[in-house]
Amino acid sequence: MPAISNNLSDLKVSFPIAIVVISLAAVSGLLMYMTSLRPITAVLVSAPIVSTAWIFFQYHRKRSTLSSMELTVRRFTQDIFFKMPLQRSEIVFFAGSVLIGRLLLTVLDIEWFAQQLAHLNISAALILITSSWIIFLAALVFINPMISVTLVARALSQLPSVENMPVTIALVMMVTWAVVIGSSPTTTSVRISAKITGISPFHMGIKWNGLYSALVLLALDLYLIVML
Amino acid sequence: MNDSSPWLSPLCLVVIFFATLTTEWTGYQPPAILAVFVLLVFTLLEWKYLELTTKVIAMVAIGLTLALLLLSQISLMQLGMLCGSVAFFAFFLIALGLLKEAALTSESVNLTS
Repeated sequence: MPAISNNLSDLKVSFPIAIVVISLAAVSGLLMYMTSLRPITAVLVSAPIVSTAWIFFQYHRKRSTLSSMELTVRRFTQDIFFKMPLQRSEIVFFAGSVLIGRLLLTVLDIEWFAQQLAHLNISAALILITSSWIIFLAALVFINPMISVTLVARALSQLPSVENMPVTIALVMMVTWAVVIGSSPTTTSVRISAKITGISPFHMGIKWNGLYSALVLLALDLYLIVML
Repeated sequence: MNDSSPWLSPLCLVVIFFATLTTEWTGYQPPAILAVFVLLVFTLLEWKYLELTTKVIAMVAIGLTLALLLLSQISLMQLGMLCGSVAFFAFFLIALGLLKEAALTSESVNLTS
């Protein structure tokens, strides 16, 4: 573990990381300006470009340009190429969740569900609080937030009691999603973090982040009760 | 990793990456359908190495798709339209994976943990 320093000049060690972040933004901006790519796609296209440049400059610190280029090509063809499938579980899990969510959105009658909820005459605050906790609890029983948030947000936008408050719906969905991606063992972020840290997704999501996540949701509930 | 053909699974991911990129760039849907088909091949190749929860999600997704197709609840055309979203999220993880690989050998990343 590196020693903790109070010397500001020691921050220079993180300059290359700052350059990578700035390069990502710059290349993404350039791609968005020059092509018809969506912003998110431009960021994802710029990731391999910046990665290649980053690896090249790692070699270039101690070697010539030609040698660095050869080593970069070798790194991609003999190392990274064969390591790509190590993300197999995350890729299949993520793609499967998206497919389930999209299929359910296509076939479920969300309008009917919204009408049934409207008949119950529940207050707007209670509907939003219930929705938030349903998404949170659903994530704990392996229903990915990508599925539950998509379905719940569509239903909420059609409810007479909350349909005129899109900003509040967006706030509830964003906060809940942010809480869930930090605490549910089924989300990609928790799974990748757990893999890097060397612990189980359950340990990372529930034991480390569970209490904090529940407190954030309670704070959201309180906000909704006071404001609505 | 697949022992018999170690290049086949990575090649699938490369095809998914470029096919999805083509769809994103041109708006042309067939490459996204190809990407999802190749993703299915990748899933089969890597099946025995997948985590249990991933296997469950994959089986539910494939089962739900087949059930809805057989019950005529969705058409092949609708399924083709959904492929764009599915392929995009696979593309998302592949792209971020490359950035992670570059970070692994960075001296700055190692020094700052």
